[in-house]
Order: sequence, then C-alpha cells, then structure tokens
Amino acid sequence: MWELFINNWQTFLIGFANTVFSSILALIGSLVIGSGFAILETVPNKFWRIVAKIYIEIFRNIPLLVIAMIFYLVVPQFLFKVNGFTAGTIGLTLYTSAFIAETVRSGINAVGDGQMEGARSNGMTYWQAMRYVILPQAFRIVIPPLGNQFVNLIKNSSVLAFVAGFDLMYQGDIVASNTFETIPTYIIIGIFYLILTMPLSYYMQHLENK
Amino acid sequence: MTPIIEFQHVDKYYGKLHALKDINLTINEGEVVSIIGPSGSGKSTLIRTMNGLESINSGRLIVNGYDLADNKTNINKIRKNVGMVFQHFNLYENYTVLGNIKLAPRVVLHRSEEENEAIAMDLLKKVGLENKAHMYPRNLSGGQQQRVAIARSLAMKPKVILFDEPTSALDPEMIQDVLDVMKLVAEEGITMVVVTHEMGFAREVGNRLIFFEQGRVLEDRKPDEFFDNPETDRAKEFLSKIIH
Repeated sequence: MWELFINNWQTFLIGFANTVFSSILALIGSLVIGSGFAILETVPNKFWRIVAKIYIEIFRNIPLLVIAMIFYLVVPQFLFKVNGFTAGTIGLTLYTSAFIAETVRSGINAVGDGQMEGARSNGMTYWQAMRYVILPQAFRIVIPPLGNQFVNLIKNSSVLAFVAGFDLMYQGDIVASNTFETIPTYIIIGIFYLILTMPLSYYMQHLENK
Repeated sequence: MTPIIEFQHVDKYYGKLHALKDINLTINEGEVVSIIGPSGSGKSTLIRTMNGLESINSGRLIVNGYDLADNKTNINKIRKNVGMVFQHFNLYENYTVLGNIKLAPRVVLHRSEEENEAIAMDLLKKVGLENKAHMYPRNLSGGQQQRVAIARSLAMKPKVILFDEPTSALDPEMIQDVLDVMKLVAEEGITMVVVTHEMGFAREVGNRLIFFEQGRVLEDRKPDEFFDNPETDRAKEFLSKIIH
C-alpha cells in the first residue's frame, strides 16, 4: 500500500488539495449564506421568513448529488460554462447552507426573548440588537452542531468525483482503475479524509467541553 | 404639569381577550406612578404598551410627543428616552456589567468611549456595584443584576423609566437594595411608572397610585388616600388580602 502511495502520490495529492480547497470555499460560502437565511428566517417580516423557508426546504430536501449535477449539466446549457470543480463546490455550498441555516436559526431561537426586549427597550434597532446581543450568543450556542456540519461538508465534498471535480475521490478512482489495486487505494483515500475530519471533530469536542 | 405619557381611549386585545379596556390616563413629567392590582389584570400589558413592546388595537397613545399608534412613528426614537427595567433583568449575557451599561449609549447615542466609561462607572458607584464592573451577569445575584439593569437604563439619560415588577423575581433580602436604588432614581426627577407588589414603595416613594383590574383603571389617586380609604370594593378586597 505504501508503494501504491509512493507511485501515485502526485495524483493523490492533487485530489487532497482540491478537496481541501473545495471544502474551505464551501465552508465559508455556506456559513455566510446559511447565516443570512437563518437571520431572514427570524425577522419579523413574514414575507422574508417564507422566502428563507422555501430556500432552506429546497436545498435541504434534494440530494446533494442532484444539486451538483444540476449545476454541472443544466447551468452550462442555459447560463454560463462551469467546470466540475466549480459546479460541485457551488452545489456543496448551497446544500450545506440549508443545514447551516437551520442550525444557526435554532441558536437564534435559543437566545431568550428577554435579550431582544432588553436591547430594544434600551433604544437599539432590531438590527443593532441582532448584531450586538443576539447573534454573538446564538453562534456560541451552535458551535458544536456547526462543527458537525463542517465535518459532514468535508465528507460530502466527495460529490465532486461525480462531476469531474478532481477531488480526492475522483483522483482515487483514477488510481484504482489504472492500478487495479482497488481496496488499498480506497483505504488511502479514507485515511486522507480522516486526516481532515478527525482533528476537526476533536477540536469541536474540545470546544464543547469548555 | 407637562404630560409625557397620554392614553386616549386605548384598547388592546389578545385574540378574544380584551386586555386593556378604554384606557384614559395621563402621566406627567416627574411623577412616580405605581400600578398595583391582582395578577392577570393587565398591569404588565399596560406598561409594555408605553414603549411599544405591546401594540395597541385602537385609541391614541402619545409618549414624549410621539404617537405610538402611528405606523410612521420611529419607535427607536421613543425608546431612547424611555427606559425599561424587567422582572427578569434581561441583562446582555455576552457582555460584562460595564459592557451592559455602555453598549446602547455607544451604538445608539454614539457617546465617546471616555465619556461613556466615566458615566457608566459613576452609575455603578451610585447603585453600589463598582467592584462588579468586569463580572458577567450570570455571576451576580438577582438583586445585583437588577441594580445593573437600572444603571443600564439610566445611562441613556431617559426622561421616563418603566419598571415591570422589578422586585418580583428577587429573594426577599435583596428587595430593599433595589428599592433604595429606585428611590434614588425618583429623587432625580425622572418620571417613573412602576408595576409593583411593594406596597411600601408605592406608599412612600410613589406620588400617584393606580389600581388596575381586569384591564381597567379602577382607582387613580394619591397613595396615602388609596391605602387609607380605598373607594372601590375590589380595591378594598385586594388590600385586605395583601396587608395583614
């Protein structure tokens, strides 16, 4: 297995780098978009709450693979050209953002009503109260579940393999079909994923215990 | 006497429940008005309409010159001058005591850091908690938290402070500290509206007493007159139950 890795290390490493890169982009993107929809889901205006709900329900309830395929196959036909990496990363971002939205919303709801009333009675606007009082507390509450979402995101990035995204899984497929050493190849791939996800899991547990 | 809060034929419903019934009430600058009455009578609803935490269904409610029933009124402008102290304190859990006091003056009034700090420390001294400035609310007793909440309200230099059962969630031995601070506030001439069960405070510090029951103002008098000689049977019954 070591020999297999030495002979194909460049192929593996390209995959590893793409997986890391895609995961980081999707993590940032989904955190921003997801938090945005979480906030929208809790505003007093009913119209925006419904908009947020529709977005979340759509992306939460379609398989990630289908979302990625839509971006890979459908979007280029009507809008603009995208490569597999971009299509997969966009799909991953939107899919994950729906789960992050639900997570962050639960955090916002977990902050007591009294905090908002206190801030509003103190003269702050709704948005000032959100920014200075509600959201800082909400994010602190949802650190552990957010960590789980990030671990899931890294694992889900393997969807890029289906849209030619040159990620770990895709590169592994190449190695496996070239060498016919299927089982050792996927063991190596698994180890690479563990290298990414285990430290994150442990770090999250550490934060949770604090 | 300058009116600062004026209810004109105000009604409020929760679904079918008629919570406030044709309220006509004028509170003047500098008055200390205690609102007493049985629980469920609508006292809290009444006080919460005064800074727009509860909306009203009909009538006019004018606070510091702004009509609360008018959709165009910017509620934040009213709240700058109308503070509120809650039964459960509602201090910001993500800020220290000092941070709680300084936050709104900083982001709402854009008060300079130097001035803000000086005012906040002054207020903490006044409520006797300057040594707790850097602690978080969760590490304070209820009575201490409530004194911080009063200081937080005062930092905005409001014309009115609304107190919604400020001592009801406190252990008995802490109530007096909070009442003493409220007395200081009264002496500064800030208009106070206090929903309370503390009859001693209502009698000694308050200069007006409202007996509220089933969404109506039943009596609106000088505290001494009310306690010595309640007019309505409901008030007599209420007083006989609480004063032994």
